[in-house]
Amino acid sequence: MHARTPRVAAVSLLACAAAASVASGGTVAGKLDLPADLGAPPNLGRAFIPRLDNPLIPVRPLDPRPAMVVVLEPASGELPAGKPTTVTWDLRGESFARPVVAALVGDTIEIRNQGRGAPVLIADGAPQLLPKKPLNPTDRVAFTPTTAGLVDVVDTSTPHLRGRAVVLARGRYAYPDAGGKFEFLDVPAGQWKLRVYYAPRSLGGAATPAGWITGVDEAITVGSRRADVTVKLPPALPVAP
Amino acid sequence: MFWSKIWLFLLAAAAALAFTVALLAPRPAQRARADDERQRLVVACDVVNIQLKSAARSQIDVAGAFARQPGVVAALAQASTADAIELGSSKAARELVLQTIAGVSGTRPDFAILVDSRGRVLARAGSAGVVDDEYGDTLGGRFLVDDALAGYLRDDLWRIGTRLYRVAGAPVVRGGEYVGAVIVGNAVSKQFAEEVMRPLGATIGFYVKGELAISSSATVLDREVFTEYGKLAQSPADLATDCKSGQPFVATSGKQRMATVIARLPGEARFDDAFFAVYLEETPTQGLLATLDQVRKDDLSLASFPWIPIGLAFLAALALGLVVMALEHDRPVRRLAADAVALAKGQGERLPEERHRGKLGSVARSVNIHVDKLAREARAARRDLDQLLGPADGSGAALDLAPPPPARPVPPPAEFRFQGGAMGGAPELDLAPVAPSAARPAAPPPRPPAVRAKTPAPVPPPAPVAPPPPQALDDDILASLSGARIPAPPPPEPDEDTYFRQVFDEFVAQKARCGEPTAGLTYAKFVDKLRKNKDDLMAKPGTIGVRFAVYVKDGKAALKATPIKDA
Repeated sequence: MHARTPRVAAVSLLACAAAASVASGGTVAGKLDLPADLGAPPNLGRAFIPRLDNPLIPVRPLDPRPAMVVVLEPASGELPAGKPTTVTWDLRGESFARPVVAALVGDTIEIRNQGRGAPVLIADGAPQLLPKKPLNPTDRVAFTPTTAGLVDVVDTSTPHLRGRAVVLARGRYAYPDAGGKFEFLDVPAGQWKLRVYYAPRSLGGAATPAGWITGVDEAITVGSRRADVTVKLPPALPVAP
Repeated sequence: MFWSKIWLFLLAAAAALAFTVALLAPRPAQRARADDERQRLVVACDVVNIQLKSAARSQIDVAGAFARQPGVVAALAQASTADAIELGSSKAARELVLQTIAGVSGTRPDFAILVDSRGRVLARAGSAGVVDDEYGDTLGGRFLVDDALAGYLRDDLWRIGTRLYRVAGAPVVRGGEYVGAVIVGNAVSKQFAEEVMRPLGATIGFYVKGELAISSSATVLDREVFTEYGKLAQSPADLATDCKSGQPFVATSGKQRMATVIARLPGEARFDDAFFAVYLEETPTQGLLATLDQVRKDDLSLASFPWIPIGLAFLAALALGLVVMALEHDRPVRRLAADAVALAKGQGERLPEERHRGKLGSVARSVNIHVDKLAREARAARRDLDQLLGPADGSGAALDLAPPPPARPVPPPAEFRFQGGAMGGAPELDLAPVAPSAARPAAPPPRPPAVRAKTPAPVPPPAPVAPPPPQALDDDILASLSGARIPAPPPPEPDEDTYFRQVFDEFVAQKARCGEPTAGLTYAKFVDKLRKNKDDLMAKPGTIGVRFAVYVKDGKAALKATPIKDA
């Protein structure tokens, strides 16, 4: 009994040391620098007459940031597999709280209906992910992607209720705020690559192209100190799968 | 008759042509009417789109005016800064919306919704049953709401439940910032459908999600409309061209046949398979009778119908037909009839063939052939007698005692018929009584049926033949030709010998007067010749007796046999 006590203590100490070494990563913060002129918001279809600019003030320009995910990937090697988590995705009436949500392979994406309707959500192109049935108010439905990629979640009864889930194979992700700022906490020290995934809104019919914004692969060395980065996005936000 | 036939052919051709025209005439009119209906449908379809655009413009104006209401601006500015929509602020905003709707002149919106800058509903208000009083939910995400929050004025077409709503949105601006949006909407109602169709005289139905949402009439078209929409929905063409490029088709509703054209509806409702159908009751196929049924009294008035030319044409055709008939039929027949009567009266020996052409000429020739035949036979009979009895050759012989030439085969007279001869049996003699010709009735009396005896019946004495009246043509002719003295009428058959004896005596006496020898002229031989000659003449149809006359020819005694014809 007495002989085992020092061994257990030693193992516990090593485990705590190892955990402390991972948790003691740095912070990566930054801002997305949008191109100067992104133009008008996309034409969301038209009815009997074309949309008209209001005569009082200029219309708002396109804001792509809600459709972007900033991803931090290790430059080499693999990250130790983390514990799968559940990503909640709120559905608020006629739209999702976030038009684009991110998750890692193995994570569970849970959709919570906080609206008043009962849409029938499906995963476009991956019918096995979501059962085709109405999602009643306050109800929730979850799915677990097993492969990396983009999952388009669409309401079969409306053309406007669309959400896009970016499933990442590895790395970390963050959402830019209204000002384009983002932050990664507790990033393990080492070489990382920062990328931006852009999944613009689909408009009723076929899904609009989505992917990694080209020319935005930022190499970042993460240490114990905070790393700040400004990501300058190219004009027209070209993407590649 | 040639021109009569031509005229009949022309009339028949004209009648057939007129009938064909009467049957065909309604068809081009029917096609033209169908084309007009289709064109009318296309125009109606275009007009519907124009009216929908006009209504959308009016709605946007209402939404813009709504968004400029100070109370609305203030309420939305306050709501946009709040973390959550409070019940109190929502109620106040709802009252404000109702007041604003009531103040709208013209077509008031059925509902209005205030949306803050985050897309949350501050208040809903409107007609009962259209919207509820819920608040706080997110309406952002709808294309129209997002556009309005971005600063655009626009319209859209929404499906809510099974109904369609025309909606318009306008941004709400305060202090140079967008603080929300106003959404106004009107249901696509029966009243709206009727107003759209009123100037067009057609019917419209709005469809969404495979169901009829609303129609301007009770007529419901389903099957064919959805079938046609299934084809149209695949079309990549612009929705605005549906009316012009769409082909009208026939849809049925019960027994009604409706010419129909469909066009897709735009906006969000497009993704709910929204479309509208404009239809007109198809004009029934107009046949000849249906066309005649639609003739009105005015159509037959003298002012609008060419009665006079038609009447003149009818009279001209009738007159021409009558003239042709008179020239080719009536007059030639009358001419032939007159010639026949003249022939019957003895005013000529033959029918003048040259005066008759065609079939009537053939009739005249046939009659003349028969007349000629009779004349030849009469001459032949006379020649036979001359050869028998007369001094035809001047030799002075009072009677030719030489055997007679072989007699021509002569058909048996009508009164004598041999029966059963062909079978080899004994011929049966059927002796019909010869009607006396003395009375010459207007019509011959019916002959009594023949009596057939199984055993040879005793031959009855021939009926006494009355002498023909002096006006009988044959007698007149023969008498005028010969000037001979006609002996007394032939005695009855039992006295034939007496008659022949009398003739023989006269002949002998005449020969003596002429200084001709009578030696060798025996009564028996004379009688044989007479009987043979009589039999030959009696074989002619219609001959009921033979008279013999003694006369002088070329200074010599001669004998003539004259057949007595039946009346």
